[in-house]
Amino acid sequence: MSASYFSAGLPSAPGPAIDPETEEYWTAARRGELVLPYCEQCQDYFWYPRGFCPRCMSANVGWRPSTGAGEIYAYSIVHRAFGAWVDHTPFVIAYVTLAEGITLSTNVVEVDADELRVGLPVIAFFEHNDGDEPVLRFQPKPVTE
Amino acid sequence: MTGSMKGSAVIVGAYEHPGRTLPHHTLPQVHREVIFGALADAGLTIDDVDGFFCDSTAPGYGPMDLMEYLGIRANVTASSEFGGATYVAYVGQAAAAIAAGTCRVAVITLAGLPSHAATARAALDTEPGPATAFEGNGFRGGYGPVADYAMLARRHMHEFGTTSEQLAWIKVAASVHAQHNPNAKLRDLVSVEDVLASPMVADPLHRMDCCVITDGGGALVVVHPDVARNLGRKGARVLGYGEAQRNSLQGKVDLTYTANRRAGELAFATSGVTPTQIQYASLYDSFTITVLMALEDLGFCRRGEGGRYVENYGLTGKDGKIPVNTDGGGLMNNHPGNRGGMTKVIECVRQLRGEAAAALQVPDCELALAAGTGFRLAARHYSSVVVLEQFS
Repeated sequence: MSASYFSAGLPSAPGPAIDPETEEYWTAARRGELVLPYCEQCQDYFWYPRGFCPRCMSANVGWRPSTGAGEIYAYSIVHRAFGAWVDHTPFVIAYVTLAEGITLSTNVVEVDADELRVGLPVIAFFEHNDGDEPVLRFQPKPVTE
Repeated sequence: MTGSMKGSAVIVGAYEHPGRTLPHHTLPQVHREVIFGALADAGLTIDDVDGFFCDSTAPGYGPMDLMEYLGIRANVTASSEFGGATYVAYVGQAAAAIAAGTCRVAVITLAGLPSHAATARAALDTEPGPATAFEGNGFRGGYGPVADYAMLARRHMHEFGTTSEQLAWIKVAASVHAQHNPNAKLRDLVSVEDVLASPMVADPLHRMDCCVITDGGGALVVVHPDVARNLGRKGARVLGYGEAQRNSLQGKVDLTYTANRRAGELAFATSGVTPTQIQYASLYDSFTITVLMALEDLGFCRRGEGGRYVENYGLTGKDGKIPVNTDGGGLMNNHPGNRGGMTKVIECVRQLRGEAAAALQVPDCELALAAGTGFRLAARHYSSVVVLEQFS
């Protein structure tokens, strides 16, 4: 493993705000499944999860399973950090655009610096740290898929 | 700002705290020094003030405590929060209050002491917004705003071929300007090579792509034109103004432009001025990429051409192009309280009065623009733009 390899095992923080509007996301995440909020009125996804559609005000929103497939929209290799993250520099933060058309902020791990690029195909997975809720992160999609 | 409000107010007082590290000051003290400084500059006293605009970081009960401390009795008061965009937005909001007859002499104040540990603690104690609360378990921990702006730079590089060398020219220009500002936090002349050799903070942004962190502040006095005429002091008439916010757009992220685009459209439309008429611009410079995108979003160059523009022309007024941030900007001079909007307006006032550094004074500067942005351009953020005209 070279110094330019960005490993999994990034920190998490205990206690994200879980409320009735986001509970289903976390329940699915604990099973290792990514679900996305979907507006039945607009027939489109939105992000981040909330109990109504921020485009049309409709409360007719549900959850749809995601393929987890996406590509890097933008990224940065972070060299200066604070708190629990100090011991993990450098690490990669990114915006990933999912096949479903929404872009979310995340970390990309298990990737080599030489491999990192805008457009790199990635796949979602959840990292679990003891006692904390699962964290959505991405890693390069195996080329055989 | 409707047509009837165009030119409804004049900035007659502007004061930038000369301090950059103030270990023994309290926040109220800094507010007092900058407000009294701006009032003295205008030729007014605290008794004249009937409008008061501070930000959400004012201690205690915010404006209540500060007005008691200062002896201000106001008819209109605000303590909004648009980050660094707040003070540029307040110029427009104060002008609107003056046009509506709510007040005649408005004070806008900024004070910040990021070198004090208490300030850093207070920032961490705030209740997170809904997006941050949701993402707070690990999506976005552990890094400052640099990494967000780094993603903006990365996408710009991907879409338009912008390079780190091009971004570095923005810092070079700021360092050329800072040579003429004895109060500037940093005064060493910087080369493109220096920027690229400085440590990477969040790839592709180096340390020298980032603004300084300073204590200090500034204040503005915005008045009814009748008050301004009686004072007989040169100033800056508020011709036009725009504000806009932008965010993650329900997940449809597009990092290739910012809220400056909409705020600029509004400011140019209300003032009846076009970008080519502007002779001096103060563009928010939290990072080099912030300036580059403002040049594009405000129409000083075409979309995607910001990199080539700064490489070819710099920002020092070469080849008839517009000079930007002649005080050295946030990149060299001052970024008090991690908020740059106030100093942006102050340098516009200096230019319009003919009081900028002699070597950098735009001859008979009649039209200037100040643009502020608040929070993180890669996520939810705010922009405010004012167009100002020489008043004498």
